Amino acid sequence: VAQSTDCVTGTEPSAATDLDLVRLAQAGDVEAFGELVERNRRAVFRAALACVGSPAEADDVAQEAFITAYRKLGTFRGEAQFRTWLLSITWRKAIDRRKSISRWLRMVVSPPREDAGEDAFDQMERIASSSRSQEDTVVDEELQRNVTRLIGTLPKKLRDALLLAGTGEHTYEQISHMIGAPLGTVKWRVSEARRVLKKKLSALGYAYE
Amino acid sequence: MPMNNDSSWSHGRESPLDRAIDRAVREMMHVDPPPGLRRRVLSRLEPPVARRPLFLSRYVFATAALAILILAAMFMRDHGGTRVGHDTPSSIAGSTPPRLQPVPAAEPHPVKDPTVTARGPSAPITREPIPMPRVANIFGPRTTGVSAAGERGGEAVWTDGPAGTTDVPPNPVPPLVIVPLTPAAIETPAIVIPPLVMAGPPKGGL
Repeated sequence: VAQSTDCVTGTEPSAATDLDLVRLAQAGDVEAFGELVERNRRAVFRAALACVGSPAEADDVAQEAFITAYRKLGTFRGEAQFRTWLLSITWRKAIDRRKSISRWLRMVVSPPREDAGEDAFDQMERIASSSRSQEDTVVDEELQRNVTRLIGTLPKKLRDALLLAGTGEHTYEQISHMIGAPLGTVKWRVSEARRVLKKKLSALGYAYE
Repeated sequence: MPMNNDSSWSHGRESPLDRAIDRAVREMMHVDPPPGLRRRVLSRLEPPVARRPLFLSRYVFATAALAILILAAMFMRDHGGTRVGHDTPSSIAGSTPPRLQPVPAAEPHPVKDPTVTARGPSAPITREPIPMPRVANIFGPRTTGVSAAGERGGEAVWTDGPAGTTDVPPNPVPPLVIVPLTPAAIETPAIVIPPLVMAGPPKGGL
């Protein structure tokens, strides 16, 4: 059922599939679970990052997700891919973390900011600016900053779908299972997020076409 | 690099704004986790071997507690709940626990009244049925009709009832005599007011 995800994560190929490693980990093989962590760490981290917006918070969420998965490993029956199951755990952890961050922001930020939809995405903007490659400098930097800022103002459902689809680690099916929405809904949210972004950019004076 | 494994990410549209969105999302999300995630996760894992006794111990503890409760309930039921003296909590806490004295063999004493049962700690609980005294039916058999009792010569008259029944007539009720009230004058003792006597000025002056 489960397939190795080495081609996705870029780790060294291994003969054992995820399901094989799960069986070993269920029998108490901690190193087998460590291999599962290695294979899925990027997908888990980026899913958490799409939700909480901060790499530091995403790292904490990823750790909690792996530990929770290890504790619940006995309940994994192999009916779905291990990665899909793991990403569902990750998303729940990330949502809980985002709620706590939002509560904390509401508590410490006074008066509320005009763009209340932003949380840790200002930090993302700095990351985007700092990791820009030479190829990307062709695009107007101001436009990039505006796009990043506007992504932070999207409704959470649209933003989640857009960012998860943009991680390069998750298929639409995995995103659908992760956030508990039908596949068509996920695709519509991605498309709608892009439409809203382009509309807002047009309002700022950027050409739509 | 495609934004998603699904080729419908950009839906084939490549406007400048689409490219800007793709690039912004990619730069936001293509961040690798900090190194050492595997090590940090494994260091926080509890060995599964250590979890099994804890998992089992919960059931063992719950089973033992349940067994103790059942045994205690059975013990209390069999011994009928030995009475505890009405000591105050402070006296109970301050005193040494009473030493249980062996109960002497209970002498078999006859029970005079069968309706009265001994309730001491030494009295064994018997499950024999208690004989009830026979009580004559003074109301007669049950009928569907309404019976009215009249008074004729000091004897009750039964207006309805099946023939041939041997009912015990109720005790005759003596006639009620109402004594008419008579008004009586209220006598009050005469109030005697002594005459005022003029006295001199007070010693201290006005």
